[in-house]
Amino acid sequence: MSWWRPTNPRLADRVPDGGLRRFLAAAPPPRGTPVRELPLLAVDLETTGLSPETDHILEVGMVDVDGLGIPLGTATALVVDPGSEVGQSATIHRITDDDLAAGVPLPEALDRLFDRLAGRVLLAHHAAVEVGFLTEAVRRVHGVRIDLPAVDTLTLGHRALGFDEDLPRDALRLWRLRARAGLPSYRGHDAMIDALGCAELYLALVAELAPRDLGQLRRLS
Amino acid sequence: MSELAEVTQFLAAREPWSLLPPGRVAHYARLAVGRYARRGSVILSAGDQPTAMFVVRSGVVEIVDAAGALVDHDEEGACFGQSSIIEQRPSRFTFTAVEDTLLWAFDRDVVGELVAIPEVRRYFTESRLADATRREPEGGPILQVPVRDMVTRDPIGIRTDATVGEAAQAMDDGRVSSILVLDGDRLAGILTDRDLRRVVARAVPPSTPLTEVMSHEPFTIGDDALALDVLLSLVEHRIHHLPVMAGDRVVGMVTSGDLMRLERSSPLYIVGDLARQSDVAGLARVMGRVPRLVDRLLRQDATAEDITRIVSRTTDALWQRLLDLAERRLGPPPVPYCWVALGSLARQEQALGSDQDHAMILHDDARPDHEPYFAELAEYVTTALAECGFPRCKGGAMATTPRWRRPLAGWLREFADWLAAPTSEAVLNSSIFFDMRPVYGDRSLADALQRRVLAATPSSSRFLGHLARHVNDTEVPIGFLRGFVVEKKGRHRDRLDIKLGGINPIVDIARVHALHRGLPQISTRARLLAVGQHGVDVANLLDAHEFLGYTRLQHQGRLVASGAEPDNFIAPDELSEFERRHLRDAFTIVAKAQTALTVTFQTQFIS
Repeated sequence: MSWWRPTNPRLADRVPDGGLRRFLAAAPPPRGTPVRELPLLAVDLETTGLSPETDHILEVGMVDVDGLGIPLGTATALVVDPGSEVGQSATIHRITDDDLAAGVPLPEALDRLFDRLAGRVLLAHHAAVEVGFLTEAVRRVHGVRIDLPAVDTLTLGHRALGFDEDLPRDALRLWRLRARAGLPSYRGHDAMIDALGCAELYLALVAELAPRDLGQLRRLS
Repeated sequence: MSELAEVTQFLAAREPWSLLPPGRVAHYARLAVGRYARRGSVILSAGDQPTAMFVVRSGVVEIVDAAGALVDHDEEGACFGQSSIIEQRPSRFTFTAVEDTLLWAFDRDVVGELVAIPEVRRYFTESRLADATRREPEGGPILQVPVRDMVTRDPIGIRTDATVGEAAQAMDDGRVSSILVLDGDRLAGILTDRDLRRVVARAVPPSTPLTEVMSHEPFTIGDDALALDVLLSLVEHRIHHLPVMAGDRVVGMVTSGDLMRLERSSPLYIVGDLARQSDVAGLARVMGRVPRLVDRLLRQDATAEDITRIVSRTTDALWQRLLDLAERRLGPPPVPYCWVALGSLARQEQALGSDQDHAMILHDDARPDHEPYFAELAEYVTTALAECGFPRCKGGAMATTPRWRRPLAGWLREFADWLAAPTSEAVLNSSIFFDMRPVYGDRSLADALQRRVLAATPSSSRFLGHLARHVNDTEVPIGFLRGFVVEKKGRHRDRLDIKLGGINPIVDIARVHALHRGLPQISTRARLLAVGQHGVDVANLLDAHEFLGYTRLQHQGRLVASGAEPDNFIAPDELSEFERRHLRDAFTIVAKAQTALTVTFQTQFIS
């Protein structure tokens, strides 16, 4: 019995040759994979809003996690050209229309992301957002509904803090959990730095919670 | 491709990365691997071969040597592991995260690439906390001496229009094995002994123009290179002489012989050189090398205990040589005697700027008419020591004082008086004599005295009580709320006396405990370790003693480097926040130990 629904390989033939097809065809790491060997891809998306149906992906930040190390050279940021004007949130994300003009079309951004994700586990902070936007984007572009299992640092952080406690409102925010783990504060809201920030928090949380393998990690998150 | 601005900026603001050519930092930022060490976890163990160099991005890493002694802490921006990689040796230290720590690891290939850059290599080899993988007892990183420090005399040069004969004559006059051939200010060539051998072998006439036999355009080396670079260049080009250049000006010459002479500032050479001197001026000259020795030992990461022991050993050698010279002058002694060191030298804890404390124990056969001999001997040695940089003891604890130059029986009476019916004042003045170690002469005299004294001290309650109370006379320079108490005015304004307020109380505490138990150890560390066997909690005091001693030596090293006289006055403002925190901790430990001693001794023995 696999830990992900084995529908993805059947979808591989329904998408064009490229990164997404390789992702769908590749088997994810088995659940017995020790955490110290587990390959993940930390992803952070900057979007125009919170709704995958009506909002757009503006920027994709990602960095590999190889077991208990983060090769910083794999940190990447892709600006996405959503084919539409940027809404209000641009001021927060500091991406201007000019930046977006230099961006890549969404299908290419997806292709490059999934190429990196093949054989790895998606890692994100509050992963529901990344999973929601990415599955929706794939559905819109390729017409298939993929399964995208993820490890979520927000849930792991919640576990580390203790589910019973009455937590302050922003206790589970990325920066609060990072500060708790003694991680440095970064300038902020940029997809690549947030992906790196998430990856570092993951290292801190697995050091604290000490899950043995992917199976235990999934049960924690 | 994106840039890792956060990583690049962090590195670029710190050595050694700031020494890289512009634009290269971003390249290295991309080669880092982020790692996390939870508080309490070991990052690298002593004896293990590291596969990566680590940069502390956030958090604190504690460095402990193989014996378990705390060496230092690495904080944000510090590197460790590189020395073991460069020298391909196991780590000498264990590195443990004492706070949650984020690290950037750089693979050993990257370290290899980095050290190929001379500025970076120098930074790594010179930084005090380089985790040098093994302690080299004498030499240490000799090859990291800058070339400019190796040049000891102005270069000997000759004009290009000179003849071979003139050049040979100039070399002979200057007693050098090579000569620089100069065209105005420009270095045109070099002529060495080896070239002259060729000249002789081929029967070239002395009137031959020099330019026909010299080596043209010789290899040179910049004055900011290291001895290591000299060695590599000499080996690579199979030569023995390298002109040293400051820009395009020749400033000197280094030779393979200079490389060998570098060893001379090692303690072994100093001790050996002392034994070879035949007058006081020569001895004073050799002793002048001791401050540089301390500086080098500090850079090699030696502990304060090691450094003070080495300094003490050189002083011992000086005394032994002086007494030997004195006996040659005055003739053999009429009866055996033992010259003993008192105080810090007796404990082998001598730092820089120490004065002289000594005494003489004469054989009981000594007669009044022998007195002039020993008086003259004492005067000769004391005067010579002053010339060698050891001021006379202000308290008069010197063998020139007749009371401190007496037969064994007299010493036994003296100690018996101190131990039996002591006044507080007498005890205070006598304490220096309880740290006594034979340096020259018949050591059985000193051994006999020590044996008898230690048999009596454990039962001398009043004496021990006074001694314990005097420990509390010293106010540790730390106030309520852990603020430092510094001098309010005068020459040492805003400074504190680390010896008076920190080191001395620990020395005194160790002495009280040792005498209470009749233990023969003399050095503070040995005394503390010995009383630790008897259930006294000494772990914190040992750490504090080493930390305070090390901080004092570093301070003295800085003073010496800037040409000032070494002293014991530390300015807390000039320390890093981290050092200040530890200094506060150390003083707090001393203050607590003072209180504990009061509880153990005074209540027990006096009230």
